Amino acid sequence: MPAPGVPAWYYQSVDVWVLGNALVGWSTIAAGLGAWFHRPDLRRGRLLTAAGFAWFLGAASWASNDGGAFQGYYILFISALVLTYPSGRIGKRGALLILAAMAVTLAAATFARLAFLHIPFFGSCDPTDPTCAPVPATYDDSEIPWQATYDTLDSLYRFVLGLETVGVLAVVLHRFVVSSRPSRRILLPPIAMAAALAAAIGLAVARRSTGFDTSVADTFLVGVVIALAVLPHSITLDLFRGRLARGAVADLVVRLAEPAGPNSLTASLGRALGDPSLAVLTWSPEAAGYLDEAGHPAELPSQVGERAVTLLAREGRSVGALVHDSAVRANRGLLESVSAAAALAIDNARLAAEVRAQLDEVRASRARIVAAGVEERQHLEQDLHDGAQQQLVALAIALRAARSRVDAAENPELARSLGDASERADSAVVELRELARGIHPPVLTEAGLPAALSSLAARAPIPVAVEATLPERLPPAVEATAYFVVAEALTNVAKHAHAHEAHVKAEIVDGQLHISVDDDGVGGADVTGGTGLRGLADRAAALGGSVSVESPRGGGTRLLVEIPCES
Amino acid sequence: MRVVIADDSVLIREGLARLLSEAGIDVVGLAADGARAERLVTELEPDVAILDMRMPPGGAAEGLRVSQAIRARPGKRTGVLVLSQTGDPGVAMRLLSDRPDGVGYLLKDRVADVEALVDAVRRVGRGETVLDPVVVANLVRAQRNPPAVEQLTTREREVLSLMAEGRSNRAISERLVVTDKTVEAHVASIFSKLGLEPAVDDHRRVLAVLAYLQPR
Repeated sequence: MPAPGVPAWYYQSVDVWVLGNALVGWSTIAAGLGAWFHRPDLRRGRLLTAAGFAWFLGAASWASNDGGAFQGYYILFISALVLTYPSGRIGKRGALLILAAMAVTLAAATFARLAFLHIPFFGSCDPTDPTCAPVPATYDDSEIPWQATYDTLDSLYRFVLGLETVGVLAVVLHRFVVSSRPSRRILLPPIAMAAALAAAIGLAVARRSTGFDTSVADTFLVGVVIALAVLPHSITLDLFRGRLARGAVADLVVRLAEPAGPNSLTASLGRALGDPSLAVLTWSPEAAGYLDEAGHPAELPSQVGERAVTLLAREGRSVGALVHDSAVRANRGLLESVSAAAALAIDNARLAAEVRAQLDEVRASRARIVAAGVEERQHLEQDLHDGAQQQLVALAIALRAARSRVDAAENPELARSLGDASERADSAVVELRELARGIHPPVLTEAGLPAALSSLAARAPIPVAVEATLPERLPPAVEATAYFVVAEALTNVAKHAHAHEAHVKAEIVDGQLHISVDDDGVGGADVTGGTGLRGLADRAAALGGSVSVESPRGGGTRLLVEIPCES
Repeated sequence: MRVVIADDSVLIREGLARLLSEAGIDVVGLAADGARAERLVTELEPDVAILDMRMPPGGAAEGLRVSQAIRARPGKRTGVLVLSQTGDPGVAMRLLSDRPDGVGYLLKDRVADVEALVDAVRRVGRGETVLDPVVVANLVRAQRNPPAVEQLTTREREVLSLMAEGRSNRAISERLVVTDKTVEAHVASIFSKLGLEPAVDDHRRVLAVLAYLQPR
C-alpha cells in the first residue's frame, strides 16, 4: 500500500533506492571520517561526515511521517565542501551567497513541510484530534485540500534548489577555468561531485514534472548514486596522495621562477601554505644570525604557542627559516615541499647576489690593476727623468764644457775624443727621451690628453688633424689608455692604411671619453689581428670601456674608443 | 746679463751655471724648486729666469706655472726660458699663448749646445720669442697636407720655420745669408699664400704663424 504523500514511481525503483541510500550514506561518512582523522585541521572531513549523516536524515525524513521535512541538507554540506575545496575557506562572495541562499531555501522547505503536516492527508495526525480528518479509503487528488498549493511550492523548491546547485557547479567550473594546471587537477573531484548533485536534482525535477521514461531514468539514477558513493573517497584519497601539496608547490615553483623580489617570495610561500601571516627570514653567515625582509637582524620566535618555525637548509647549510602559524605543520608533506622550494629560492638569490658581488669585485680589481700599471709606468718615467736622463744631460754639458776648454790646435786628439763623446751623449739623451716617452709620455702628465694627442699627431708621418677640447683633466689611467690606443691606431694607419690624412676627435659624452680616429685609407683592417690593439682594448675594457673598429674595404677605417671617466 | 737658474737636478743646475758663466753671462742665483725660483726672481730681478718644466713642488707643469707667475709680476720685466724634456707643441703653445715677448721654450738636451743655449738666453733677455726648432719642425711636418703649405717653396718653408722659432727678419737674413729685402719679400709671399694678415711686429707674427701651424 502506498504511503500517503509518496508518489507511485517511488516504488518502481525502490530496490535501487534502498541499496543507493545505504551505499551513498555510509560511503560519505566513511570518507569524511577518514579525512577528518588524517587531517583534522581541514574542514572537508567534517563536512563530508556531516553530509553523510544529512543523507541518512533526509532518507529517514522521507520515509517517516514528517513529509520529508528534513531532506536536502546533504546538498548543502556537499555544496559547502565543493565551494571551500581545497583550502577550507570560501574564496568568493558569490559562493557564500549561493550557500546562504541554499540554506534559506532548505530551511523554508523544512518549515513549509512541517506546516503542511497539520493539514489532513499531508500528515498522519492524532485521530483523537478533532481537526484531524480520517483518510477515506479511496480518494482523488483533487479532493485533497491545498494539494495544488503544495505541488506548486514543491516544484518551486526543487527548481530553486536545482538552480542553486547549478550555481555551485558554475562557481567551481569558473575556478577550474582560471586555475593553473596543478590546481585544475585538484578541482576535478569537487567538480564531479557538483555535477553528480546537479544531475541528481535535475533527474528528480525531470521525473516529477515531465514523466521522464523511468527505465532510462533508472540507468541514470544508478550512475548518479554510484558517483555520489565513490566521489567522497576521491576527495579523501587526494590527501593521502599529496596531490594537493604537489599542486600548491607546483604553483609556488612556477611563481618563484618569475623574476620578483623577496616580498613576492613571502607572498607566494604564504599562499602555498595557506598562511598569510608567514614571514621569511634569511640566514646571514656574516651576521651569524637571521635577517628579516628589510635586512634587519631578527630573532626566531620560541617554538611554543601559535607561531612555529621551520628551518631551511640546503646541502647541510642553513639558508633561512619560515615563521608560520603552527596549524600549517599539520600538513607535513606540503610544509616539507614548500620549505624545499623556499630554501632553493633563497639559496639561489644568495648565490646570484654573491656572483654579482664577485663580478663587481673582479671588475673593480681589474680597473685597479690597470690604474696601478699606469701609475707604475708614471713612476718609472719619473725615475728615469730624475735619474738617468738628468745624469746624461749633465754628462753632455760637462763633456761640452771640457771640450770647450781644450785647444784643438794644441791637443787635436783629445779635442776630437771629447767631441765624439759629447755627440754620443747627445744621442743617448735623445734615445732615452724616446724610451721614456714609450713608457709614459711626459706630455700627458705635463699638459693633459689634448696636448698629448697633438704631440702624437705632430710625430705621425701623415697629416693628422686633432680636435680635442676636454673641460678638465681625466683620471691618469683613462688618459694613458686613450693615449696609447690613439698612438697604436695612428701607427696602424701609417703602416697599413695607405691613408693621405687622418682625423682624431676627443670629447666627453655623458661622462664618457669618446675618441675617434678616422682615416681615408684602403680600409679592410683586421681588427683581431693586431696583438697591440687587442691588449689596449683589454685595458680599455678593464676601465669599463671599449675599443671598436669599423673598416669597410675601400672605405677608410674608423676606430672608436669609449672609456667612462668618472673616477 | 743677469740670470737665475731653477732646476731640481744639482748636476744640471751647476753645469748650466758653469756653461753660462764661461760664455760671459752673469748667473746671480740658483734654485732647486719653483717656489724658490719665484722668490729669487722677485728679490734679484734678473734679466732672464731659466726654468726646468718639471720640478717640485708643482711637478709636471711647475715651469709653466712659475713662468706665468713671473710674467704677471709687476716691476722689471724678466724673460723666461723654459727647458723641457718633451718638446711638445701643445705645451709650448700654452707657454707662448698670452704674450710671446721674452718667452722661450727649449728642449733640455739643447743645453749641451752652448751656442744655441747662450743665443736663446740672450734673445729672451732682449724680449724676443724662442721656440725650439724640433718643436717647429714637428708643427710644420704635421702641416704637409693643407694645400697652402704645399704651395710654399723650399726657401719659403725655411723662412716660415725660422719665423716660428721666433727669429726677426734680420736674424733670418743672417741665417740664410740673404738680404733683408729678400726676407721681407719671402715673408710677404708666405703671408699671402697662407691667407694671413700682415703682422705689425715680430711677436704678433710669431703668434699668427704658430696659430696657423698648430694642429687642429
